[in-house]
Amino acid sequence: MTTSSTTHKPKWVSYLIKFSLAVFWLGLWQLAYKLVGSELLLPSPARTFHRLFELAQTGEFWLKSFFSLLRIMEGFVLGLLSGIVLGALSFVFKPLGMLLSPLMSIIKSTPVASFIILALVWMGKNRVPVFIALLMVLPLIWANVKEGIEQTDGDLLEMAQVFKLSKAKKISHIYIPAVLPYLFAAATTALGFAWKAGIAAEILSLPVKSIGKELYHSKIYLESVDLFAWSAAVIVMSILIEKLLTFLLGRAKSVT
Amino acid sequence: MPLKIENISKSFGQKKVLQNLSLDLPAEGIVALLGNSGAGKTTLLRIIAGLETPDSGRVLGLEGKHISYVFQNDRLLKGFSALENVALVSDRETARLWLQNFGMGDALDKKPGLLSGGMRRRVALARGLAFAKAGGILLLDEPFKGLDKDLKQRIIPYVQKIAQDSLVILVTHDKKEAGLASVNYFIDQI
Repeated sequence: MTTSSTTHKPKWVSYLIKFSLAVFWLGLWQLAYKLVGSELLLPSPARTFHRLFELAQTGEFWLKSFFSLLRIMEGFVLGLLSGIVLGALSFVFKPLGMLLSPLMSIIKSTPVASFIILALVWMGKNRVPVFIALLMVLPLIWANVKEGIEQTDGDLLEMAQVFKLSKAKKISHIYIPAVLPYLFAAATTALGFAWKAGIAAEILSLPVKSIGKELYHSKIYLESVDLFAWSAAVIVMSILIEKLLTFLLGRAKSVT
Repeated sequence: MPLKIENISKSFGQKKVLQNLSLDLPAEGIVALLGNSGAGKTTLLRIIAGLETPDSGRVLGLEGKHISYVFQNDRLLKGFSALENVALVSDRETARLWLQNFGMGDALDKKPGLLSGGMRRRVALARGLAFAKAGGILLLDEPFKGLDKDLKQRIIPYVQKIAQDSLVILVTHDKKEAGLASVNYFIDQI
């Protein structure tokens, strides 16, 4: 008789590993700071987190973070919705897919800075991060929705044909469950892109009440500590949004 | 109305699967299609179901016929329970009855991923039989694959009942199963 066993690490071990990794990298950062010896070139971790703590106690910090988040999430949602609609339409009307394909490739390969500068000419500074976030999300979602529909199980479609399932049932019972894994994976990746590109767009377009404007000012006034503190805030927010999206997608997955 | 298969040929690329096949099938009763793997039994069922178009030849007598199909693979929706899978093609109460008839009363709410192979087969059978209608055609492609003798014995009377007023075309490798049929066709010898 053979037995098989799988070893699962207890939760505290995984926390300990994560904690140790954090300590290692913070230690390395501290060491680098000591070696460089200048707060201007490389602020210390303690100084950075202290500044972040100070910022977090002001209403302005939360207001700026909120508006940055709002702009980028608006772009993300618009990109998500338009990607889903265009992806589905591109599957139904093949010529549309062929027409959009080069456009999506161009959007993906053009440097984001080019789009930001172009967008600055086209629209108001508050809309630039929205537009850039949308551009980051759209091609990814479009390609994955199209791919998901194309990969729908042909056996199930035949089953639906034989049992005369309505179009609505085919879409809700067969196509949507087939597309969701592709959509979820693409949405998670796209969110990271949207967030980073959106902040970059803010740095160049300087909308009122934005993280990007703060990052720009810290560069202008050589306030490296502020630069690091705001960057840390961006990273924390990015992780939190990604966790929230993963949670929401997990809920959606369990419902379907 | 009986079914007449006239000179049907079908190839997939270079592979000729059916060549000038002609068969006369009754309007009611069980007809068994036997033959080696690749002889074209499933292809013929798929042509009758309208899932394949023959390269040449035709099937007469399909007009207005209601067709149900138990596929060789189960083709269940994995996000749906056993009951919901059958209820896709019938009302919920009928679906429940069919599943209970096939000994699935305790697993109505289980999704296919939590069912054994034999249980999934029974759900597929329940769906196919629930969708069958008098005067129609029921296509069974190796329907009892993976079922033990007792379960087969439990399900066969329902197939026979449907065959009283419908045409049941049974694809099988099992000569005992073919014994259910009033006519046996060895498709690779036609």
